[in-house]
Amino acid sequence: MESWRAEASRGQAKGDRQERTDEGDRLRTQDSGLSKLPMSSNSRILLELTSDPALLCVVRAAVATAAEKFGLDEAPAGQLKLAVDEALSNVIKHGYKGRTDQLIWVTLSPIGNGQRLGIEVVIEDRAEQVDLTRIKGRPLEELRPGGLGVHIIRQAVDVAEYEKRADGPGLRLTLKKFTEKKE
Amino acid sequence: MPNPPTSAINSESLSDGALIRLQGDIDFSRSPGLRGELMGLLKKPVPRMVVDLASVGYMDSSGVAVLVEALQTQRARKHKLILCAMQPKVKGIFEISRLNQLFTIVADMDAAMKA
Repeated sequence: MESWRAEASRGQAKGDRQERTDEGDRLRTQDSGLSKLPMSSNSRILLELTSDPALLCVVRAAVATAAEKFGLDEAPAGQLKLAVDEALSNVIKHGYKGRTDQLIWVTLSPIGNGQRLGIEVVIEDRAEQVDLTRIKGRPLEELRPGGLGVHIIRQAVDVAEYEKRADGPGLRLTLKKFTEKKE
Repeated sequence: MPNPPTSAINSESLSDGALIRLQGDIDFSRSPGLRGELMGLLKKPVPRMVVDLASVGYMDSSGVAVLVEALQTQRARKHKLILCAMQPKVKGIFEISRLNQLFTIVADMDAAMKA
């Protein structure tokens, strides 16, 4: 694994390990129907794929399965799957300009926010830098094809944060999706 | 669900247009092909185009964009584009993007023929 990638993982671990360890463990041992999940709060899935649109279905399947495993119901898992698909499509189309031989990394981790279980998805690429202020959805009242991806991502997940990678080209997108609140 | 490598659509004639049946997941890997086929069909006038989505289990914004382009073409000609038998999972993306307010979306073929 290249050094920048290792740094990214370490940075993420420093920021979120406590959240995952404490809240995730506590929530998963509550009587919420989720305590049967046979996994530790340090569970993590790392996917490395080339920027080939034909692989999107593979990532969608992995996200859906992981989301279910990490405690999400079908509906929020489906929304997360859509957000990840849109984000990867944007990387391929806009970041890598349609090239199919570039690398993308997707990391899936269980998280907890004090009340609810959730899943964090981090998507990283090495495409050329873009102006983060230009990553925004278009007005929805316009009837024209395209430009919906960013809007859909923000609507589909609870957290969507873009940041430039500090030590090289490319973007890091962090998505978080939590279980629905129980009444 | 893995995508079939074959055409995303099959079509048949209606008395006043065409019925288009889409199948499989419509994502960024298939939407360019779908666009080519659908816009190819619209090179000639189709007063009523019914798109049957019963066999589509997933669609992303690139698939939606193809349907938006087809709707634009039909509207410019004062022709109809009707989406029918949309699965709830697919309907979600139309609702998120508020396009459910712009498309004619009906439950089945009977309703599509009356729309």
